Amino acid sequence: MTQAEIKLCSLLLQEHFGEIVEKIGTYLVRTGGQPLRAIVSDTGTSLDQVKKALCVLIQHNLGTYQIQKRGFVEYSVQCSRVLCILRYPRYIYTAKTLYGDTGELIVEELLLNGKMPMSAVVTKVADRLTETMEDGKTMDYTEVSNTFVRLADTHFVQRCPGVPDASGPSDSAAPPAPTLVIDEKDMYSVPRLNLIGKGKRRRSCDDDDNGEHKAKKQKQDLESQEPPPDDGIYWQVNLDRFHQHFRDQAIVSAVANRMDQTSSEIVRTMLRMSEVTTSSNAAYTQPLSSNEIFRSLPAGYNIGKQVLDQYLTLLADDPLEFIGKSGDSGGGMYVVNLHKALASLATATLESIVQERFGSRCARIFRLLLRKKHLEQKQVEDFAMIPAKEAKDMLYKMLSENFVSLQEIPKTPDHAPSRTFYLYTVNVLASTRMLLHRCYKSVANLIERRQYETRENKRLLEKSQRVEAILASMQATGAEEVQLQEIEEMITAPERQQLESLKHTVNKIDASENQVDETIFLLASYVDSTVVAAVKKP
Amino acid sequence: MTFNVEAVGIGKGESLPPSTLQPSPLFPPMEYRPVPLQTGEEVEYMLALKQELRGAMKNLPYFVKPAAPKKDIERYSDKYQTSGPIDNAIDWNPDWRQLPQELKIRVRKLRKGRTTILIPKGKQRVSVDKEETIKKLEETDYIMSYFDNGEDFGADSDDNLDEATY
Repeated sequence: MTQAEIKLCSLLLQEHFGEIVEKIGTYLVRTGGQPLRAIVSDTGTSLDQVKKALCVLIQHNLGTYQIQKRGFVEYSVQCSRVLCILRYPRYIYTAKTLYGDTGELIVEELLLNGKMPMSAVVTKVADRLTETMEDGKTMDYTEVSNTFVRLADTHFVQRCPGVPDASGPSDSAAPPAPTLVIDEKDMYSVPRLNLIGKGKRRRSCDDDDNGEHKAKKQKQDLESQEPPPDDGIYWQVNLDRFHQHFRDQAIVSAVANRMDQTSSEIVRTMLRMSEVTTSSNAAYTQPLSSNEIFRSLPAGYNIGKQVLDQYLTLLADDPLEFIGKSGDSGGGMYVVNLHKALASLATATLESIVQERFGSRCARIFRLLLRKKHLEQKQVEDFAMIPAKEAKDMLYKMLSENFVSLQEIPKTPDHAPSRTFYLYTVNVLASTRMLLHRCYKSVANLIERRQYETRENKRLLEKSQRVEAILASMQATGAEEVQLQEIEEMITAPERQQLESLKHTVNKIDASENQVDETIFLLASYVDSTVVAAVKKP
Repeated sequence: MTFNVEAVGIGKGESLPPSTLQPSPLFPPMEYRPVPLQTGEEVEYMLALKQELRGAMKNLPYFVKPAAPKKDIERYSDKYQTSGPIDNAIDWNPDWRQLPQELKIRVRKLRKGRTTILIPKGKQRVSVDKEETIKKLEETDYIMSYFDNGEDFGADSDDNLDEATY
C-alpha cells in the first residue's frame, strides 16, 4: 500500500470509529500481522483500549485474526477493505434501487453493525420501517424476511464464517481462538426461521398502553433469555457482489453511450445471465449462445432473432471488443470481455482527465499515442497536425506529469544517445496507478479540509445545535410563535449566513468525495483485473 | 547535455527552459477550470446518506471514545457531566465464541429501554436531531434536579434576624 492509501484509511477509521480504533487500525495496516502484546507496546495504548479496538475492527470485517503455529494469535487489517468505507452510501443506495426501502435498510443495518444474525436484522428493520408508516400501520416481519432472502439469493449478503459444529469429545485445552470456517454451499443459505411479528414503534407517551406495556415487557424478558433460532449464524454485506454490479452498470452505460439502448439491453441481459456463474475477477464471462440470450431478453423487448444476431455481430466487431465471439454453436457463442471492458473504461477515464487538465489538443496527442503505441517526436507533430513547438511543449507537460513516457530504442550496442530512437508512449497501467494514487491523495485532502472547516466553526455549530435543541423542546411543550421567534433570533443574521456557507462548503466537499470514489472504483477495478490476469498466465 | 538534444526535439541553438530552483507551489494555478460536480436526485440522496451515516456512527457503541483527559482543576460541574464509557468495558455485546479468548472484555449492561433506534431518513432530517435533543434534554432535566435551584435560600436567613443581611 502507498502512503496515500494508509493516510486515507487512517482518516476513514478516525471519522467512523474514533481515534483509538484509528490508531490501532493504522498501525496494523502499516505493519501487517501483529500479536496483541506487540500492538500494546508499539502503539503505547492500554491493553483494554487495544482489545476494544480489535473487537470493533473484527466485528466490522475490517480486521481478521490468525492462529500462528507457535500458538499465539496474530491480528491484521485489510487496507482495501477499510477504503470501502468511502463507498458505503453507494452500497446502500444501490440496495434501494434494487430492493426498495426494505433492502436499503437491511444493507444499512448490516453496514452499521458489521455482522448481525438474520433475526436481529429483520426485527430492527421492521421497527424502523414501522416508524415511518402512518399511525396504526406496522411492517410485517415476513415482508422483511422475504427481502432478506432475495438479497441472499442474489448474493448481495452472505453468511460470515462461523464456528464449526463441535463433534466428538472436546479437547482438554481449548484453542486460544476459534478457527472460523464456511462451506461454499452454505454461504448464501438462509436458515429456516419462523419469524412472526410486526415492527414496533418506539414507546410514545400513551397512558392507555401502560398496562399492556408491563405485560409485554415481561414476555419480552422471557423471550430474550432464550437464544434466537439462528444463534451463531451471522450475515455480512457481500461487497464483491456490489462491486460486480457497479462494474456491470458501468459497462452497460458505456455500451449505451457508444451504440444504442437496444445494444446496452442485450449486454445487460448477458451480464445478468452470467451473474452467479462468473467469479468476480474473471477475465470474461462464460460463453452464452445466441439462442439462450434470445430467450432471456426482458419481456418488453420483442426484437426478432435475426435482429438480435445482427446486434451481436455488431457488438463483437466493435474495436472496443466489449463482446467477443467464442464459437459458432447454438447460433453463435458470445462472451463479455470483462477485462477488456475495464481497460477501455480506464483508458476513457485517462483521456477525459488529460482533456480537462491540459486541453483538447493535448488530448488529441494523447489519443494518438494510445492508438499508435509508439511515436517519435517528429511523427507526433505530423500525425496530430500541431506545430512543432506546441507539440513539444504539450508532450513535455504530459511527460512531467507521468501521463506519457519515453521509450529508448538503441540503434547501436553502445546506446549512444545520438544513435538512439526516443519514442513517446502511453503505459496505460502505469498511468492508471499514478492517477489512482492521486485520487487517494485527493480524497484524503478533501476530508482534511472538511474537518478543518468544521473545526474552525465549532463554536458556532455548537451554538446552533443548542438553539435547535431549545426550539425543539419548546415546540414539543407547545410554545407560542413569539417565543419561538425570540429563540431563533439568538443566532444573528451574519451568523446564519456563516452557517449557510459552512453547510454549502461541507456539502460540496462531501459530494466531491463521492464523485472521486467513482473514479477510484473504475481505476482500481482495472488495476486489480490486470494483476489477476498476470497471475493466471502460465 | 550528455545526450544529443536534437533527438528529443530541442533544435540547435534553442535555449532550454529555466531550471527549477524550488518545489512547485502548494496550490499551482490551474490552466482550465474544473468541470462542475454532478447533480441530480441520485447524487443528492447519496450525499444525504453519507452525512447521516457519519453522524449515526459517531453515536454507535463501536465509536470508541478516548478516556476523558485529566482536567487541570477539579470543577464542580464535572460531577454532573455525562462522560463517555471509560477504560475497561464496552457497550455492545460481541459473540465471544467467534473471537480469540484474549480479547474478552467486560460488557457494560445497558439500561432497559435505552436502545436508540435510528429514525429513518426522509427529507426532514431535523426530526432526527429533534428526537435526540429531546432525549438529551430529558437527561439534562433529570440531572438538573440534583442541583439546588435556590428555592431554599430565602427560608434559612429568616431565622437569624440579628445577623446583618448582605
